[in-house]
Amino acid sequence: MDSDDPRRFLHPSTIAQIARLDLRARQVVEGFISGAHKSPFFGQSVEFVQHRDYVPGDDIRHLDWKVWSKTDKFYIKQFEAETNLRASLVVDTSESMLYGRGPMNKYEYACTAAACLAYLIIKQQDSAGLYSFGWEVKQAIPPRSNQRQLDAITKSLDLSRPSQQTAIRKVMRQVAESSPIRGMVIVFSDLLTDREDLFKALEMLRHRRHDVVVFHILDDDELTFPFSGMTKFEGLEEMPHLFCDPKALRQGYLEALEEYLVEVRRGLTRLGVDYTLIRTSDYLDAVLSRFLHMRMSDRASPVRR
Amino acid sequence: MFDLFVNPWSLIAGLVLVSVPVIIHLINRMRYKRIRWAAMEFLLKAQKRMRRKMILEQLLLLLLRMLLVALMGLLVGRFMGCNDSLLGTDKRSTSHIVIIDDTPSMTDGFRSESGATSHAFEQAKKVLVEQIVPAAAQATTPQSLELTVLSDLKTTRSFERLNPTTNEEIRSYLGAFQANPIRVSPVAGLRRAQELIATQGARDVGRVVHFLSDFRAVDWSEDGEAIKQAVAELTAEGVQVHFVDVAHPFRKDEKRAPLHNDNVGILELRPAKLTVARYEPLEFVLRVKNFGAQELKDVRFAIKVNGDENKGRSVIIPTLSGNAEQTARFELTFDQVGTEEAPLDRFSLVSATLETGENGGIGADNVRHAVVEVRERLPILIVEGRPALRDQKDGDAFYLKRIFTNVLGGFSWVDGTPRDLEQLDLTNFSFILLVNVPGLSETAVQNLERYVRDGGGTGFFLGPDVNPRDYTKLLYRNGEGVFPVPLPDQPSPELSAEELLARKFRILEKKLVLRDPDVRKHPALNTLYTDERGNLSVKDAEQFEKYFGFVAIKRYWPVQRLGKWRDDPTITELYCLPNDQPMSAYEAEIRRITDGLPVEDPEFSRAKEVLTQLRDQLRRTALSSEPLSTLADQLDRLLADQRNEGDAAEALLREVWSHAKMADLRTEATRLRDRVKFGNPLYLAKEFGRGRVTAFLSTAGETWTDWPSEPPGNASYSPVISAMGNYLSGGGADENRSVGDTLTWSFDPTQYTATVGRTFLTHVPAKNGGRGTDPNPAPRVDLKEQTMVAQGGKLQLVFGETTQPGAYLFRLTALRASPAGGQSSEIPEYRAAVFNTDTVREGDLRRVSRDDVQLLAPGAQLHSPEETDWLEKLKNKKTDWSETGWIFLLLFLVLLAEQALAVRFSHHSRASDVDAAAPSAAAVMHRLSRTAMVPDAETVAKSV
Repeated sequence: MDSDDPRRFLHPSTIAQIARLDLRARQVVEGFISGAHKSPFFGQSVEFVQHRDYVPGDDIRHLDWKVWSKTDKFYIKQFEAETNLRASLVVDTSESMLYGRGPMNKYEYACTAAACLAYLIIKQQDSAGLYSFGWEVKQAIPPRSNQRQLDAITKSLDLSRPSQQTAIRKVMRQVAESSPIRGMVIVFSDLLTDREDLFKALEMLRHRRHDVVVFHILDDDELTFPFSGMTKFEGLEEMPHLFCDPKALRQGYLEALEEYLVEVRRGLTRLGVDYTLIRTSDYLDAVLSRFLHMRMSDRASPVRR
Repeated sequence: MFDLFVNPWSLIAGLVLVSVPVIIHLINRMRYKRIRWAAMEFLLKAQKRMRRKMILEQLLLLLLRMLLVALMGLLVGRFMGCNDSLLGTDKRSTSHIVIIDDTPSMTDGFRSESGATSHAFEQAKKVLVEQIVPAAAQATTPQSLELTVLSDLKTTRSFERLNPTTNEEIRSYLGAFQANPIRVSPVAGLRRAQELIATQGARDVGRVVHFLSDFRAVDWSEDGEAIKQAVAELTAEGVQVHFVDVAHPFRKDEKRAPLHNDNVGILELRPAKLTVARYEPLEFVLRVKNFGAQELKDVRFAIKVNGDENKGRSVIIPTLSGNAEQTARFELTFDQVGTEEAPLDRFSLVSATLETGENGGIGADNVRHAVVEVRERLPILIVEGRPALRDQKDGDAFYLKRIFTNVLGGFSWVDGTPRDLEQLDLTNFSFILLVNVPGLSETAVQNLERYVRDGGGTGFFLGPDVNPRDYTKLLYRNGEGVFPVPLPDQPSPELSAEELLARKFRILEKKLVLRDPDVRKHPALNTLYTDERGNLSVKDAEQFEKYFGFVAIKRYWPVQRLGKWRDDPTITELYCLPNDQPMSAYEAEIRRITDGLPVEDPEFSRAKEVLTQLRDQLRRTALSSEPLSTLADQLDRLLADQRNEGDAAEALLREVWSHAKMADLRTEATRLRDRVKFGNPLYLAKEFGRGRVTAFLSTAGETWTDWPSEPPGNASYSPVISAMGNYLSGGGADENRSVGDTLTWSFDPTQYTATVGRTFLTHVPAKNGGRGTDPNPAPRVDLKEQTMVAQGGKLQLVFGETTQPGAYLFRLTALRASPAGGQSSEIPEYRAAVFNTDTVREGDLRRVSRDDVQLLAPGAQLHSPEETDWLEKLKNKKTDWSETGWIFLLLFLVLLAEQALAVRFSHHSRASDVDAAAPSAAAVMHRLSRTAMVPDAETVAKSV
């Protein structure tokens, strides 16, 4: 990598060197936004739409005093986004997330990505919460928008250790129940779980009109299966062990993987879930920027509920 | 099992090593990595799905690897194969005897693949130094070689211990050899091989005879039995006999006779006589054969005298059909005679050279020599019975002398007496005429016989003085003597004047009849009847024989056609008299034969008309008073065996006579025809030894005949006498000696000294037709003197050093009683003999078929230079698969297959290939991540 490239700090191996997640997130986000003309986070997302008459009970903070001074009448200033975005970051902390031979394993990558997004969201005054789960929700931080919320999220991610199997249906129900208001659910997982459960779980979220975004994180090894030599594969999450020559099985493995990926992509697309497959070797900034791009173009889409 | 390997221990090692791939496989299974794996689901699915295919592939790969090791084991163990288990088992040393054919046919040229011209002899050398010796040199036991060539079997070169150095020696030794003009039968070579083996004694060695030759069919058909015996004897002694056919095109494994090159060869160049007078035209016969199948046009031959084309001429044969002989005749005159200073100038060498180029074929037979002795005059000895009448018109030899001295130039007439025949050295005479000689003494007869036997010629003319008993007893000697026939006691009765007159008027009746149409080709007559190409010319003959109607033979010695002389093939009846019996003598026989004709036979219905007509004619003639010749003509027509051109009925009649049931009648009719047609014999010829004899049973003068004197009949006399002279002087010229033959001449020790001087005279035509550049085109080489061997009271000149074609000249020293006193003086005498390539045998390039070789030489093996299998046996060492390329090819293929399979089972993939094979979504992500796409800030803000 060129030493003049500002993105050199965004390489997974560089980010991995930053221990603290909040710093990581800052590094990533600031890094990739640094080239923009102005920061979107200080312009607010509140755009004036119209005035309406004051009715008792309205927050007097929204009174337009300039209009009152000229007309002696009370008008309420109405803005486009009156409400905060409530983003729930759902991070898979099951045992399977532990795999990874690169600088970061899937879990670390997921945490970093989640931290980055939390940082972004909180920076623009929206609220972000965190759910980490395995067999059940291990930690839940309800969405808030204050600065300390980011610390809480990063600390929580930092502290949690992947273990247990995944029970995604149960977990999503819990997430849905704890988020009565329509919001955004961003899932970070390797989705190595029962597909039916997965679809059911996400369908439930969608049913509650949550905007669901799935970051499907897989390790390079899982995608390319580069192993050779007799190997004993020890299954995580209580899967059986297998002793084999991986080269001989590679073809079959890749086929099965392809089927799985197609099934997941199709299933999630059908549900209207925003799906992104990420390799642990991918640059985070690229992943995030691509995601933001997609979000922007999707917003204009009439399909989205 | 272990016998099949040169290194059996390596085989065991190889067998052990075969298990290595299995062991490696097992070790690999024991040494494994552990990976804690999340995506176990897919792995299990793949395992379930690929299990069977995987096992098969793995097994296949494992087997290939084991095969690879096994092949390596075979290679290192040096597997010899299961066949030829006898190879390399001969622990004895081997003695090779190589006989190379260097006869003229080995110069049979061809153009090799590289474009260079080569011939069979070069190929033979090549086979020896490039195939046989290198193969034998590889043997582990000591190998020796004895080398000889067919033309010089006495010289044998031995090479002990064959190795590359000795091979070079052999190469340089052979370098000096060229194909030889001498023809030697292959039998001689095989016999020589036997001798060489015999001289080696009873040592326990392997013996191999290699015979490198061109295997011409003619050799094998002539000497087949002898070859068979020689090979049988060799193989019976345990000798391996290898025949290598080096002739081009190389023999394949076919059964038929292989192809052969075309060739044109001169079979014979024969002068009509060996001694000729200066400026006397001498006829030569050039006999040429086209041994190829293609017809050749305008074949030109240059005839040179002593290498000088200006003195010679050129002869063109317009058409020479395939596989056919052609004869050309031409005449030459010679102007060079010997002088005292240069006595050998008397011999002129005549060389015929084929000028038209031929494709392939051999060159040795394109040149042929003849040698002629030229003298100022040829002495002929005439012995007259009545010397008193010498040179008188009534004398016996008066007309002969006129012919030989006036009409024909070149003869010097020597009168002699019967006593001279006892005393003179007759060999100086070109021929001798005995005219009306009553009888000869025994010594004279012996002398005469010896003279004729050695190539002289004698002509007898009879007459009234002849003593028939003497002739029959001494000269005929019951067929052993020079005279061809026994004489009757009495000559024919004298004819009355009326009868003579009557005969004279019957001019259409020939008074001399050719005994047989075939005798027109007899050398004593052929100049009368044939043209310059040796073809019979019917018209000229008719013209010539017309004069026979005017000849009257009044008396003669009537010899009966009975007895031993009739069966003697050396005696030819040339002319006979017509039959002068009355017609009535044959009437009954004619009746019987005409009755027997199958006129009514439905089988011969086609010939019915002709037969009826001839029958009626014959019956009419038999009753008439016409001369017998009419009857004879009609019988000739009936028998249709004289090949009368233009007679339409002839073919029909011939068909009738050829039928089996006509055989008896035909014999009877032929006999009758002969009796009717031919009277008593008149003129006969006999070949005696190498010489020639003629006998004319009437007189040479006009005592009993008017043939020499009375026009117009006498016009035919001098041609016949001239032909006779040529015939008589041409004795001994027929000898067709071949290079390599041994010349044996016997001489009387009282008349010759034992020392003989020898000179070789030849002409080698310049290649590519260069003319006149050689200052001495016919050089004479002095071959030093030789001493004759006394044997059986005779001096014998045995000359066996004829190595090149050409003339060999001999200077003898004759002891003569000097005319002055009783002292004998030494007079040089010269003789010549010409030796040529044996074209008849060598020119025929047809080759013997493989079948015939197997039949005639059952134990021998026939190879071609393209075969190499048999050389393996010569190597006498264990050869194994590592010497062939096949095992390496197999190894390579197995390796290739192993690699291909291994790559296919993706055991050898590179890291970059892994990426390419990754699922599409990941790949897209991966690629996008590398394109450094940075979204603008607004986009980022809006998207969240």
